[in-house]
Amino acid sequence: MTFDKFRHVVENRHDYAREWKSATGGKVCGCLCGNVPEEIIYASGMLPVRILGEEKTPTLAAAHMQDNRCAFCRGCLEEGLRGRYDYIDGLVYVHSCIATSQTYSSWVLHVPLAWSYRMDRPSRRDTPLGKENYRDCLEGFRLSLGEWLGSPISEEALAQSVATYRTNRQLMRQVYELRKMHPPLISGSDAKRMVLASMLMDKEKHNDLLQQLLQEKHEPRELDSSRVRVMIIGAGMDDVGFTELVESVGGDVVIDDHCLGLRYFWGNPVIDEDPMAAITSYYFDEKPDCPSQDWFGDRRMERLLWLAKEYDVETVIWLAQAFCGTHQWDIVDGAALFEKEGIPFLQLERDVTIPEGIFRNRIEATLEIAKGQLV
Amino acid sequence: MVIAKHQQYETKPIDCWAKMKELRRARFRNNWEARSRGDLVIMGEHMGNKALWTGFGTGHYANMSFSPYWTGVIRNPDETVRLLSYVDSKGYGQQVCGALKIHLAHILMGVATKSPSGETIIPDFIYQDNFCPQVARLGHIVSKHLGVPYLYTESFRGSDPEKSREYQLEQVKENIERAEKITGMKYDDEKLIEAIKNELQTAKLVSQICELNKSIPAPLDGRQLASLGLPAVTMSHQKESVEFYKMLLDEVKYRVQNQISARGFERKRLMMDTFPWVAPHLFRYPEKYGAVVVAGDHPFLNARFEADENGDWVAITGIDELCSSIRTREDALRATVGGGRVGKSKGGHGSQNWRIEQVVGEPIEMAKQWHCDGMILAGERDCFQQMSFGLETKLLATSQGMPAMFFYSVLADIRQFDAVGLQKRFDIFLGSLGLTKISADEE
Repeated sequence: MTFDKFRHVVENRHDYAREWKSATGGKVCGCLCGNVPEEIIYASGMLPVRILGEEKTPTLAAAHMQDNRCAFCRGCLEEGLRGRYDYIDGLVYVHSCIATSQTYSSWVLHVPLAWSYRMDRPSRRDTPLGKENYRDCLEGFRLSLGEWLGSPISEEALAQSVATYRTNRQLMRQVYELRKMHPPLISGSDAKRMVLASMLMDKEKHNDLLQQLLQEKHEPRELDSSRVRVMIIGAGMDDVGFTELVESVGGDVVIDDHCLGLRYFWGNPVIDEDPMAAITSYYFDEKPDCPSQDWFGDRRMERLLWLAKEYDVETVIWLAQAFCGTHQWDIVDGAALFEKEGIPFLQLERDVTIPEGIFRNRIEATLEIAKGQLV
Repeated sequence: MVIAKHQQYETKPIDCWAKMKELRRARFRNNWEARSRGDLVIMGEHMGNKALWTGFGTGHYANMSFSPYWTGVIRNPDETVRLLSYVDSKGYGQQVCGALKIHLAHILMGVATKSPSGETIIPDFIYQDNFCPQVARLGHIVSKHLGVPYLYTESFRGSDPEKSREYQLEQVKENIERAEKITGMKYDDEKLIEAIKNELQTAKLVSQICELNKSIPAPLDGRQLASLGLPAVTMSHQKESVEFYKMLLDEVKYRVQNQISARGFERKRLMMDTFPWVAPHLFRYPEKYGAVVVAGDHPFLNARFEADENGDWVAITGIDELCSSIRTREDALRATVGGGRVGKSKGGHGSQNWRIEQVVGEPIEMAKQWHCDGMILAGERDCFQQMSFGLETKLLATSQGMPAMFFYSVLADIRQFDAVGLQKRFDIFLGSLGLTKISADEE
C-alpha cells in the first residue's frame, strides 16, 4: 500500500536522504519552517528536507535554548546538535518566529555546515510594498544559492520546479478530498504521514506515489455513527502520535490546520509564466499563514471556518503549543468562532511530550459530548 | 557625617530627579487633555516613531500606550493578579506576554480609556510599530474592541538595510496619508521636522550620558538610568526632553569630574539585561554585595553607540550635522525610520529581525566597554524578544572570561515570578565574583 511507503520514508527519513545523496550525487538542504521557498532549492538540484524535532528530551539543546521556547524548535535543534542531520549540506531559515530563528542561529553557530541562509519575509498584505519586498527577498535567496552552488538557477529549472510543486499540492489536495467522505476514506494519521513524506522526499517521486494512491481503490469502511469527525488545529505538530490517539478513542481526524499538515501545501495554485512571480504569489498570497505572519488572524479564522464546514467537522481540538505566544492569542477568537457555529471545541496544551492519559480522558469526554451523549 | 565602612566614594541624590518626575506627570496629564484641545489621541505601545504624529494639531498629541495606568498597576501585586486573572478568564493562553495582558485587561475592562476624572476618551486610531507578533495582535484586538482604525508599520530589517529602510519609509508615508483621512487634519511638516530633530538630539544626549557611565565610579546606576530614560522613551520628540537631558548631562559630567558615584560603593560593576517589572527592587539586589549595575539594555534603552577608530563604543556622532540637513518631510523621515536610527543596538533584545552576531556579541562587548565584572542575563518566559539568545550569550561570555549568569522567569506576572529563587541565583553568582554580603557591621 502506498501509505506504507510514506510511513517508511517518515520513519527512516535520514536513511532516505543519505540514499538519495548517494544515488544522485546531489546536495541536501535542510529547511526550517514551511515558508522556505522549496521550489528554488529544488530547481537548483538540491533535495529540500524539512527539519523535524523528533527528539523528545532536548538535553543538548538546553544549553543553547531556554525551556521557554516551543518544544518543536528545541527538538529540531537537538537533532542538529546530536548530528542526526550530518548529511545536510545547507540550512535555510525563513523569518517566521523567534523560536525558529533561535534554532537556526544556534545550529549555525555550533553545527558545521557548508552553507546557510536566513531569508527575511515581510508580512504586510494590505500594501503592495510587502509583496514587492518579498519578491526582492526571494531574488536574493536565489542569487545566493546559485553563487554557493557555482551555477545560477535557470528560469527553465525554476519553471519545471514550480510545476512539480504545483502538481504535488494539487495531488495532496485531491487526497484530502477523500477525507470529506462519510466515513473518510483515509485516516488522519495516514494523511499526516503523506504530508510529512512530501517534506522529506524528492517531489517527483512523491508525485508518482500520490498518483498511485489516487488510483488505488479505497474501500469505505462501514459508517460508524459513534465516531466523530474531528479537526485538529495546532502549530509544529510533527507527532503522528496525537492524531493516532484521537483516532483510537473514536475520532476521525478529517482535516487539520497546522504547520506540518495542511498549512504546508494548501492554497490556490498560481499559474504565471514568470516562475519567480508564481513563487512570490503562492507563498505570499495563497499559502496559509501561521499566526506569526498572519498578524490579525482574520484570514486564518475565515479559513478555519471554511474548512470546518467543507469537511463537516463535528468537533475541533486546538492543540496549543506551550510557549507559542502567537497561537495562544488566537485561542479566544478560535473558540468564539466554533462556539458560534455550535461545534464543540477542546483546547489542549502540549509541551515536549503528549500526556496521553490526561489527553485521552479529555478527548473522549469531548467526543462523547459531541455525539450528544452525557458522560 | 558618618561614612559607612563599605563606602568607597562620595554619593548624592540626583538633582534632575524631580524634573524627570515632573515631565512624567505632565505627559500623563497631556494624554487626558489632548482631546479637549482638538489634538490627536492615539493608542499604541510607544516605542517607535514618536515624532511622526506631531504633524497633527498643536504637535502635543496624546499617546496613551494601550494602558496609561500600566506602571502604576505593576507596583500593586494584588491589582496585577486581578488583571491577569481577568485576561486568563477570557481564554487567552497562559504564555501570552504578561505585560501585554495587563494592557489588554485595562482595555477590556474599559479602564484604559477612562481619564482620572471619569471621562471616556476613545483614540482616533491605534498606531503600532510591529516589532513583535504579540504586540501586533494586541493592537488588532484593541482596534476591533474600540472600533477604531489600526495603523501600523512592519518593523522589517531584512538583509539589505537600504531596501528595508525604504520599505519602512514607504509604510510610514502611507500611514501619514491614512491618518489625514481618518482625522480630517492637515499634516504639518514643520512640526515633524522639529520633532525629529528633538528626537535625534535626545538620542545623542542620552547616549552621551550612558557613555559617561564608563567612568569609575559610575555616576549613575542601572535603576536610575532606567527611570531617567523614561522621558526619552515617551517624549523624545519634545523640546522638553532635549532640555531635560542637557541638564542631566551637565549634572552627570559634574559627578564624573568630582568622582560622585551612584551608590557610594562599587566593589564590582555589572551589566544587567532585563527589567524585573514585578520586582524592581531586584535591580538593586547586587548592591547588598556592594556591586552596582552600570550598563544593560534597559538602562541604555534609548542610547545609540558607534565604534570609534580604536573600537571603543562612543555616543553616536554627526547628529548636529544630520539635524542641520533636515529640511523636508522626506529628510525627516529618512533620518529616523528603520536604520536611520544610527548606531549599535543596546544589546540584549533578541528581536526576530536581528542577527545572532548582533544580539549575542554586542551585549558582551558592551559589558567589556563599560568595564563590567559580570553580566546578568535574563529571559522573560512569555516574551519572544527579551534575551532570546541569552543562553548563547552566556556561553560566549564565559568562554571569553566574562562571568555571566542567565535566568528566565515571568517578569510581568507576579503569580509565577520566583523572587526567592532568583535571589538565590544572584547570591551564587555574586559569590562567584568573590563578593560577600555587606554585613550589618559595615552598614
